[in-house]
Amino acid sequence: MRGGLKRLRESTPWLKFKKQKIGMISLVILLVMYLSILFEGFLAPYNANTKFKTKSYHPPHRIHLFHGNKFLGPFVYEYEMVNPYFKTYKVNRNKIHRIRMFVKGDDHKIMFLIPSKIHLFGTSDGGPYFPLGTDRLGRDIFSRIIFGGKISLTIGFVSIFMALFGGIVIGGLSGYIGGITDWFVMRSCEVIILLPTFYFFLFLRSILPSDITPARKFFYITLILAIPGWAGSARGIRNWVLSLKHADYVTSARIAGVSPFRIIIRHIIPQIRNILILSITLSIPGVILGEAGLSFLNLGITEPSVSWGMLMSSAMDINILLQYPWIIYPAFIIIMTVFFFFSLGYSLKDAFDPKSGV
Amino acid sequence: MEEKILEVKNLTTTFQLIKNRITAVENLSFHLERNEILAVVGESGSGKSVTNYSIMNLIEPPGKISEDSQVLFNGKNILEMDEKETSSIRGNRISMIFQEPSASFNQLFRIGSQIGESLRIHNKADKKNALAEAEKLLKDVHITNASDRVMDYPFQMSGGMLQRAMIAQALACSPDILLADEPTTALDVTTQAQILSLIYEKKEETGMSVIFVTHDLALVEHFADRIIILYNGRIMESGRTEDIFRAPSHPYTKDLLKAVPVPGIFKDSEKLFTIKGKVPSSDEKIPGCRYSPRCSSCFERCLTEEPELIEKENKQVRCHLAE
Amino acid sequence: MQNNDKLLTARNIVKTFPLKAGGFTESSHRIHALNSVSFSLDRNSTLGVVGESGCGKTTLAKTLLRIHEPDSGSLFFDVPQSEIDMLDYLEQETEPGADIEGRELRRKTDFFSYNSKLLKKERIKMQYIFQDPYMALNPKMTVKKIITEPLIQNRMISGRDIDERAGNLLEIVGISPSSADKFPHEFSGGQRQRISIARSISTNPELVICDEPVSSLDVSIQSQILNLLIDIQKEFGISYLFIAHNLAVVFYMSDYVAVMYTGRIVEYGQSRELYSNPRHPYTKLLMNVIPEIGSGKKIFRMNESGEVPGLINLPEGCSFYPRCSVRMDICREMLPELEACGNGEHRCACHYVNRPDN
Repeated sequence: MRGGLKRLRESTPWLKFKKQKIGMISLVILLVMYLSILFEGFLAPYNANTKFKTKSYHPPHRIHLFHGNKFLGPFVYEYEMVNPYFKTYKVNRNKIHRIRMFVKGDDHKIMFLIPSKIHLFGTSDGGPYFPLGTDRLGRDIFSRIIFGGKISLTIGFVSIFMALFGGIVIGGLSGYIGGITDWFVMRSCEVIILLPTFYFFLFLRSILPSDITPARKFFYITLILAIPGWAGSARGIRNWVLSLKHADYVTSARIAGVSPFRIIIRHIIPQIRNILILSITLSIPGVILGEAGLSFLNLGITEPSVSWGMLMSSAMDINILLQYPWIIYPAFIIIMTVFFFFSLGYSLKDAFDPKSGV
Repeated sequence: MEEKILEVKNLTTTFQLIKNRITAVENLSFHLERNEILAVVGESGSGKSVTNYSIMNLIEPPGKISEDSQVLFNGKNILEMDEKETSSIRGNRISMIFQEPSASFNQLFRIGSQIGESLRIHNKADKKNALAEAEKLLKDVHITNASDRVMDYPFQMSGGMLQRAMIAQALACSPDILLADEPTTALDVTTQAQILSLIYEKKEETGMSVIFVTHDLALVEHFADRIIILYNGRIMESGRTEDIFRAPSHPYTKDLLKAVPVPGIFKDSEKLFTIKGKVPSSDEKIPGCRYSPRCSSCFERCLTEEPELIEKENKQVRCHLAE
Repeated sequence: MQNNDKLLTARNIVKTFPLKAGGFTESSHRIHALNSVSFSLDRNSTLGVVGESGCGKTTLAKTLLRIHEPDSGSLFFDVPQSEIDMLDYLEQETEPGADIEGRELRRKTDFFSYNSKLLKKERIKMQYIFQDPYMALNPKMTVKKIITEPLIQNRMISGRDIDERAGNLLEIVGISPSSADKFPHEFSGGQRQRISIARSISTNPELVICDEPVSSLDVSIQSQILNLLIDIQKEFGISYLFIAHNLAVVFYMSDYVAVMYTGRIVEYGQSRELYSNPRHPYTKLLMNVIPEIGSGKKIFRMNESGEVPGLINLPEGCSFYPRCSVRMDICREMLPELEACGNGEHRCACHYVNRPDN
């Protein structure tokens, strides 16, 4: 890979991409989001399942700087529950918790390896601080959003790669072999594409047993989400294989005795690399939304795992939502992620398009 | 005194790309007389196609024709006309044919209606007359069964036939100038001969002028009246065809004439003459004479100083040896 | 060395293509691309094949390599003449057991009857140079990978010899070995064709099929490539099947020339003989339309207006009949056979040339 990075930096698509501000910002933000998965325990003030029994539906804390006229730096007042039935709170102006960087708190592992107690921020005396409030069981929503990113963000990638792998193998060989095989494979792909995606998810999910371990559940859900994507990418890749199959250099490779699978991997896929990158970028939001939808209906990721869709499922009841509006915050992060993926995708599309402005 | 129907003065066309700026043609000046065939001969990257597109003012960004360039058609500068004026000239007074005829026809419409279209636009012919006229035009370019062929779609025709249909379309409004951009390169030698005959015949019939762009010098030996030899965006030599073939002055012209194999030589008796080096791409910057890296009679001065285009024995030559 | 043996003997090759009617159905009409083509080729010599597009030149080349599978016919490639004679004997013999032995021998001698394993092994000796050097090289592979791929794929080289062999091959074709790590787009058309040539000779083939190797190159580059091909032939004793539409080039390059029309060889003979004494009206037509500097020939004054007939419904008689200037009644009814005419192996398929009183 010598000089690979240099070649990328000098390549025309990259030069064009650099000029697209929104795309560049999206790329940076998405990279930060994915990186933060590694430091989830450090970035979140609490662990995902740390419960504060007396702090059910706690509203988001307001950050203050002045106590009366005295400057204290950032701090919060403690909220005390006044009505345990309706979960209403009032501010106790006498109890102050200062917010500090790098405080000790729950145990976690940095990059899933190094045990640590240090958190990026928290209160200096261990008192509660909920930037975005808590849910019914008194768990910090901000921390749960950060922990939820692990599943929600990776499920997009993993299932798109599963879909792509299936697509390359099935679409590639189908196009390469051609004839009746190709006809049948393509018709079945079309049937899968025609099915309404979300109901198809629901159907597949309903076949699964409900008493399985969280890890297996994650795997199955990923697989379910990959299936429609598989059919779509198989069709796309097959079309490319068809158009490149008769390219002289492919014929030349056949004469040289290169095997069909290797021809697809070495001679055809590299030509469509840009298109693959683009289709991955534009497909991930769909999968993220799919997972969110399933989990929202309690059919996807379930407790004790955390995902963004699952976090939103607590907002399903309109009465609860009206009373405790902060439980909708996880929806914003989903919308933002989807938005950034799309704007990254469209910037890439412009950058890869040889006809777009120079 | 012959009449100049088209005069190109100081034509410079550049392309601004991300990394660099390409000067496709630089300071090109030539003219076209009434009822003559002017051949523009050049290899890839010589700027011959860009010249054609510049004449039609069809250069699109990132390409740019420089401000002081002039393309005078009957004394009026095409480059300064507004869109309405140019489109009344394009396809009407000046028409163009291309190397790939399939690219200039829409695959979804019948040949007849596409040929008739320019008549309907420029001559305000109605649909029925346009179709009848299209049939007549196809007959004129020697397409057999023209009355059936009018209703054909482009994909139903062979390459040679499509090329004729394209010529028929180009001739629909009996233009003053026909720009032919390598119209025979994609064709067989037999079809090539047919297309050349057709263009020649139509020129004699209608009195139009032709700019014939090609890379094949041998093709235009008797066909063209005058020849311009382009290399790397520059005119290397130009003059009457007989003069150029009888006594070529520029080393590039001489080399080109020798490099084409003629029938009757065989590998066991003769080695083919070769021009060393490679054809420069249009973004290469060559100091001094553009041909100096490949020229066998190159000397010191050629490497640093670019020769001017000078008049010599009825010809124009860009070479220090000719001075 | 079997110096008296032919390198290649092709007999009655027939190749038809189905006419696509869309979907499952295949129309009953077929395109008759090759109609009983027979020829032979000596070692270390060149057979030129010339004709208009659609005459079956390229189909012939691709059928010889079995990129297209032939409908019928046989091809003996690098097989001793004694074995071919043996095969002929066995297949004519009516003695019991001869047919089984004959079939066995055919599987071992007829290139068209090889199984895929034997095909892969034997095909290394036959290589192909494409017309368009831009399409023939995989744009995503380095020059080194391109030219050594046939060697690596057939395990003909060990890892540490690759660099040396690549440098050596590049030197032969006149490209600096230091460019081995560059990509095809960094080269001009002529240089790319040199790289194509390097790839095609990497496995030390016996036969290289050159399919219009110079017709897409600039005029000033063509003779460089032609001279290179001749030098390589002299040095390595390779045979060429040289396909082109330009008669001047074919005459120069070839020892023997075959003129093809509508999938048939209509005239065959030694290059010099064919040049000085062309017999078939089609050959004469071809010679009349090549532009030739200094000949005074005015090709734009031709009144030839013929079209190559479609290959779907071939006429019963001579397919050149509609364009022929010397046609007779018999030509419309009976297909002319290749018959000896003139010197040496000069043969011509024309009723007019071969009429008894001539």
